[in-house]
Amino acid sequence: MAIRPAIVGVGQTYHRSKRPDVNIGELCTEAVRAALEDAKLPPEKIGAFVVGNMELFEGRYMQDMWQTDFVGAVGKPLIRVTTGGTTGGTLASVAFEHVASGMFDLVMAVGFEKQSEGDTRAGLKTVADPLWNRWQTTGAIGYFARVATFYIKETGAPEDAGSRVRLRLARHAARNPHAHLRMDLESVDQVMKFPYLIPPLRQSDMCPASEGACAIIVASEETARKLPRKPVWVDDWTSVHKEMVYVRGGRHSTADLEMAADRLFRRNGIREPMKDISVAEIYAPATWAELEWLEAYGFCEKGDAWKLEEKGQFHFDGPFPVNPSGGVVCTNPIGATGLIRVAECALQLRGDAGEHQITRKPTRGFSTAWGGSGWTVAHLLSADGL
Amino acid sequence: MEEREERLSQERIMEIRYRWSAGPYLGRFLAELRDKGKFYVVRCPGCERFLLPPRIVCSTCYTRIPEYPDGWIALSGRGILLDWQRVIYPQMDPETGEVRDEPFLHGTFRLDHDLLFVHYLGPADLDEGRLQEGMKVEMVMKPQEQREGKVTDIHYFRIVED
Amino acid sequence: MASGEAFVVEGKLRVPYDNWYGTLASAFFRELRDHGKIRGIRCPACEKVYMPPRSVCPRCLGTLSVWVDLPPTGTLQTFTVVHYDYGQYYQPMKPPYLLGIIRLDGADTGLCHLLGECHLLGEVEQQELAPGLRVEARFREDRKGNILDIVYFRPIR
Repeated sequence: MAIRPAIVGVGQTYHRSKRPDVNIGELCTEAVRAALEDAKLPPEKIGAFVVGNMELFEGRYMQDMWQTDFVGAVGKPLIRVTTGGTTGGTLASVAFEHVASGMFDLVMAVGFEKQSEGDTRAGLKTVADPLWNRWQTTGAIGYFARVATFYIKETGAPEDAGSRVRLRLARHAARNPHAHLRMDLESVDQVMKFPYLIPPLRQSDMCPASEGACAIIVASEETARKLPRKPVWVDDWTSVHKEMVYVRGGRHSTADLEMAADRLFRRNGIREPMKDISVAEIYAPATWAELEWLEAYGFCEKGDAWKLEEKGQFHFDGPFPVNPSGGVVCTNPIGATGLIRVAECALQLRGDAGEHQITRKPTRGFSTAWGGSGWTVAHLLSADGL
Repeated sequence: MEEREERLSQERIMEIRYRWSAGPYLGRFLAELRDKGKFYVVRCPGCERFLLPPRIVCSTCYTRIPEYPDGWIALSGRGILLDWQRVIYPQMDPETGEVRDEPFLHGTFRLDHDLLFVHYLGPADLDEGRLQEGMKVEMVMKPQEQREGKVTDIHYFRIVED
Repeated sequence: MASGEAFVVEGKLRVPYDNWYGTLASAFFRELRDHGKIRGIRCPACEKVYMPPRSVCPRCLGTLSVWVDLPPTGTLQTFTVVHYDYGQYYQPMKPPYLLGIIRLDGADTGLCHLLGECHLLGEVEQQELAPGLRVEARFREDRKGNILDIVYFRPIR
């Protein structure tokens, strides 16, 4: 890597199922102002912008054209990135690449979603090939119902394993002022009362449709050292596509998650992920996926995640905190979701996460984004002064 | 701004028409399905994998796949039920903007050559309670006059009693 | 399928949307709907009056909140005739129709397409149209709270 990038500012809106008080541009401005304030930078210092959201969800194309005025990018380089569910993760990767290339000193990435403006169910279906399988898709819920089915079958996890994950995430979200669903859930039994969407997947297992935005500011090492915030170093990042529905025939596979984590861990000398990494903010849109994917990333053996969950290992004050923000299951403004993972990781590594700050000493962070049933983006961050 | 002011929005429908070119591989697959009820796969001459649906290049070994009929193999239409889901939450059809709220069954089937395929499990009055992994299934085509050259020309897969 | 024959699948997308104006633009459209009045917004830094109004200054990202009442009269900057028919969902009426960029009296925007007020022109012959023509807004009787509450701009006779 030519130039070492650092995250020097993060900002996000609060997240709700509906934000009728602001239009899309104004929603982005909220996150941008928060990030600038966090970095203590005036807007004119930012050299380039990367913006993004889901296609089709709000029914406005060339969203970048309308966002420019609202993120402070008039007259500056700006590109739009839209890679489905991974959009937020890719926004961060592209901002890192802008800085690593030596082209820019300060780059801002902005992701947003305003899901109530369109129909997410219809939007997600159009991801599928109209000539082959668009008719058969059941969107994210169908996909994650299968994840749950497979997980139970393959690991012998009990029916309440997903609900235990939700209970942890609810407790985390209750401590995070930015989280969307901050429900007061106290017991697994209480979570198990939520209705099924597609058995064994319950409503409580699935992420909400949120509206919100997130922005991060990335600087070169030289610039980062001069700024007031403690920098969070970006050590590495990658993305993996796997072969899509063809051949697999819709069979569930976690190959993309395995490859992405394995590549990052190997390149960075991480041999015991749970020891070497102090916090994970992973993009898992459903509770069951969180369990399965912790195993796929290599944090624990196959079939062990639900057992570790039962022992409370993944709590924010536990030995290996997973999604101390409350995760995607509590907040999902899709185009921002992957970027929120990066931003939350950065806050943890800076020690600025407030009520949901992990108690373990923050050293390295792992954040991911996932989408399109076959694409993973992963980032490895580290705290300053390690 | 005061808190309780009326907030306005604009409701609209976006409707766009498309003409998707299926190309010589998927086009041939769909035509054979519609006209003869035949379900074709191809075998990659490079890595010898079976590819469903047929396509121009193997996505893992990058070998060019011959056009019909070289290396095209019609499946028997029979297979094994692997798993199934009852889809009970409402689905919006992006082609019509309408919400379909009646539940339906989706199955994953293992077809010839270990190929996996997801489709409707039917008929509509199928008793879900008696479904078991490993049951034999077979493809049921729509009547000839209802076929449109789409994968949904396969009406559903039904359970075959031993 | 004969060799060389193309297999084409007809399809479409038809999806409903509900886009929110946000707090500031909602106030603008309520005023237009309820009182038939047009308001712009002044940037306290550069003194420019934006019409249509916006809540964020694109340069300094500051908040704009000083409303300015504007008259329904203005000057035609430029115009065009739309002949091409591309469907009921995207056009305000069946072509042909006239579109003009109008700078309202007292507003600073209107010169450029992105910030300006491009609207329908009516009660006018095409030959009469020329930059500099003085025009006024004709308001709809049953206003609904969108930009077509101004039916069109017509020459001041």
